[in-house]
Amino acid sequence: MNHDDEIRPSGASETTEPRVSLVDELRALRDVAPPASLAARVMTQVAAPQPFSLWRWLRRPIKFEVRLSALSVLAVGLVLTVGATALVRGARSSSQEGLAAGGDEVVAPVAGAAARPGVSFPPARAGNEARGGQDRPAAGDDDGAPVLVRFVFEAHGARRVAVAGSFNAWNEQVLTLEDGGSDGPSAGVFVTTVAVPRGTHEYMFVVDGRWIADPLATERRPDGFGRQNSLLRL
Amino acid sequence: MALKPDQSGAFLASVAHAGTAAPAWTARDEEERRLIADCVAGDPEAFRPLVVRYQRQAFAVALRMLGSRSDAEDVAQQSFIDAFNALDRFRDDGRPRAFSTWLLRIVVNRSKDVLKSKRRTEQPLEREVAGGDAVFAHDPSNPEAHASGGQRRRQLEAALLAVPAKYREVLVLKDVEDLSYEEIRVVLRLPITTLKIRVVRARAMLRALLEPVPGKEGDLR
Repeated sequence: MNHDDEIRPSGASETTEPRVSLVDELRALRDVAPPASLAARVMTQVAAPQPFSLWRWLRRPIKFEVRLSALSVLAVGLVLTVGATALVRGARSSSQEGLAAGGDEVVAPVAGAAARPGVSFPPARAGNEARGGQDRPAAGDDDGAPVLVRFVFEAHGARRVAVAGSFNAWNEQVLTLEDGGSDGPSAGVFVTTVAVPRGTHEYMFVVDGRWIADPLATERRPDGFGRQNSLLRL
Repeated sequence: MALKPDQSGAFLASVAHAGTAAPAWTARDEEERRLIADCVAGDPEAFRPLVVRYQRQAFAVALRMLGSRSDAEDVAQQSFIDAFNALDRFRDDGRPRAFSTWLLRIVVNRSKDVLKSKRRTEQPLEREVAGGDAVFAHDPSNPEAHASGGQRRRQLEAALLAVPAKYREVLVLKDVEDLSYEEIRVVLRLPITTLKIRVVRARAMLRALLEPVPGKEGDLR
């Protein structure tokens, strides 16, 4: 008992009457009987049909019970697996179709060492000789609306990375890729987005003056000088 | 599902010993969670055990806050209905006694609304406990009255109602209902340090109201 909470009733003898705790007296106030009809009245109101509320109906959880045998679980698992596989395959094929179709607003990450983990600066190509592609016809095979293409090249320590190809007359001074930063996960990852006319194009990266084929290009074409240009089909 | 109303007594007794330590999640909490889920799923009858279990506490807190049985009854009833209508938004977050503290919060807030409303309309509370300065103090010249437990209880009730509401609420929850500071913190959303200070001050106020006033003893007879 906390003596701070104690009071002595006035007129009581200190020696004959026990000290009364204020807290004990307050606790005695807890003995209150609620009205006998309180619960009944609450339940009457609670059980009364309430006006329809769409929001409440939408938020109302649905309770249901599912009982499955082991065989049923296996069957459901099999169906789910097949369905998920079909969905993934469908998504992949539609994505590839989208790339092949080359919608106007598609950003196609067609090139880039960044997509290949662990790749740092690609091995340097010999020399700075004239590119065979420069003498090739600059135009693509088809004409049409341009497609946005994102060129990515990972070159840690490089000072300047550019892309040149048949779509810009093999001019390595125009399309410079931007470095992702001095540190952090994007450091050394050079990126640029270019509107490229539809068709088939050849291109190369120019890293600090060195011409380098895209290591991730899926197609290459001989440049007529014993080397190969990367191929981009839109 | 039926619950014994007196289970709330056992529950509160355990809280008294818990102090400010966090109580553990119990089968009772699990049962209440299940009842609430049933209510939300569309079974209003599942609310009945909760009403039966907490009606005494809800009514007692409202009564001690308002001093009027009829007002307390209205507040308790409306608090249960408010709680029922908001059950789909209730989240226990794994906290023990989450429902009772949530319900008490509704009761306390509704009681404060009534107090404000009465004050605004300048309508004096129709208190059913004895009121007035005289009954706060013991009358040393009347030992029979002092000996009467009922008289002393009425004095205490009246004094409690004379304490300002923000102190009265902590006295009611801490000393009358015997909640832990942690539970009161959840009900009133006040820091525990603030609660402890308020409890000390509220007890001092109550004590001052109950002690005889020198020079006014003649008036008390």
